Amino acid sequence: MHTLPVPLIRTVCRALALLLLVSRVADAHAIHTTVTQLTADARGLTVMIRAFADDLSSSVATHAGRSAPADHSVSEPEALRYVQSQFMIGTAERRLVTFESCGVRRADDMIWLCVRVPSMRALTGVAIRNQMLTELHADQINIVQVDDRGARQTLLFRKGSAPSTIKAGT
Amino acid sequence: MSTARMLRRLVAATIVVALGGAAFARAARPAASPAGTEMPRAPGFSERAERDVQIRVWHQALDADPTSAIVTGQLAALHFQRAREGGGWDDYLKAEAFARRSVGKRTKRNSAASSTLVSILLAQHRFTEAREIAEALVRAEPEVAAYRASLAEVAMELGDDAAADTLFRSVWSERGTLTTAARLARWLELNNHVPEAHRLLITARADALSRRDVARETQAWFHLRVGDLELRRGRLGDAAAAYSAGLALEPEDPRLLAAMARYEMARRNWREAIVWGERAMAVQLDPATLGLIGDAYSALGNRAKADEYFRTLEVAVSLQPGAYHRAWSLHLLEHGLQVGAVLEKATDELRARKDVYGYDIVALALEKSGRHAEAQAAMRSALRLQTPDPLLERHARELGVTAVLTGAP
Repeated sequence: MHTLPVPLIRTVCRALALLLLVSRVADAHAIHTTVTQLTADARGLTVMIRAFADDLSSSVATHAGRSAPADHSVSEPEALRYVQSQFMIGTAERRLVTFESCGVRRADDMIWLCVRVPSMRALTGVAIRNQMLTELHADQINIVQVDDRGARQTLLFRKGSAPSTIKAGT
Repeated sequence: MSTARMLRRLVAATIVVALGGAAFARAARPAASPAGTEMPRAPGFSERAERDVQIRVWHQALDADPTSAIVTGQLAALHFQRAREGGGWDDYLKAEAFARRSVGKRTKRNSAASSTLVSILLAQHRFTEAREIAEALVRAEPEVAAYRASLAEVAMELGDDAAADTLFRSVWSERGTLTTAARLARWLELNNHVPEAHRLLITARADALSRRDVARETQAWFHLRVGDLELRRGRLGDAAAAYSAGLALEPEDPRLLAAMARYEMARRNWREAIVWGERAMAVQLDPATLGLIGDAYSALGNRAKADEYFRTLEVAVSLQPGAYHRAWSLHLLEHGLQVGAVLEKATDELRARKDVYGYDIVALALEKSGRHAEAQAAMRSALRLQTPDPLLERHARELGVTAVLTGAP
């Protein structure tokens, strides 16, 4: 069997060698997470959810009663319905809010979902519960980072977590 | 297969890759924001988007030539790099599959793919498998120092001190190369040769920063390594300077953000530690950072918030496949939780991996189980290299074992 000329192989493989200059023993654990940025300002409440495309696509499709697409895509209306069912926001008056979609964007293996509540401009006293993807992974952890006009706090949700209420000026 | 045919395939693959340059230029442009909302870009490392495009392009090359060992080797390296740049766990698995496919397709003149496979297995903490591949590499090409350094690293992780020492001595003359310097520096530090380790790392970092062919993630990693070394020897200001320099290169590097959290914890700045830890968590969730934030809330007296983080940490780690998590085990032991289970797991791991940190956990677990004499014996094994690490020193003190350490400046 013939082999490729060594100089040519070297040229083609150069990038490979340069990428792997040093070995690094990584943290050998994958953790299932979503990260949500929740911002209240003059435009209303914006909820930006980042999730891995394969997980989200699977859950959205299952929720819509069909099989998951091979390309891990999501349809915007189905994604909105899924978020509405799994991500609960209750006003201080104990009324559940209804989201409207402000877009879906795919960035390779991740998907950003944007939903909004135009009428909600402050978050103090609001109750939040994010159970997205917990039906898929028992170890799912949903991180919600809240920015209420500059006051920041982080909420963590696991499968079965109770709602968290946002406190003033945290 | 004839050389001409292979060349044609290679040229086809190269054209696909070249076309990828144009694809990258398009893909790197920010996408239009839907509904007037500014969508954030994917979090993490600055060259992540470039890596995504490279992967897409090399997959096209693979479509053109599904049997190419070169293309599969490239894809292994690229998926591995993306895994380190905040890609999903799947990237490690894909990288491994491509590396094995490349090695399976061709063994001659394909050592780079085997070397990649060693790194991928190390990243997944599959040390015994990594050792097998690394040993085969060294047997095939014993004159290549980088392969001996790779095997030395595996031996170091497995706690095979004699093999690691012999192999690291054999690459000492190659300490000027990045591949060797980083591994050698860690071995020197473990063996309490901190000034030498520091010099080596500083030189290697300068080399990495001066090279345009080194990924920015790797350059930032050298800052992290220097900072960690400084933090362990108590030079907090120098540690912060190194971490800050790394963050200037990679502002969203979760390893550096978590390192800043550790730095603030060392200074007892609990609130700042929480802020840094939460920034790290937003990019990539790491159990050690969850525990650190929980500890910071605990130090602030916010028991409810601390418990929320500790419970989340428990969920995060308890269902993970593969090797048990040392940071979590330490957390459990230091809080007196699940001592029996941790002792069982740590003792089990020690059968294959006898490194100093493995002995440290076993020592602590034995102590918490009321087996003081055995705990002291295990702690002595943890101190056998006189590793100057404040964590080991603290545990040694708690167990009444004298540590002969000179890590402090």
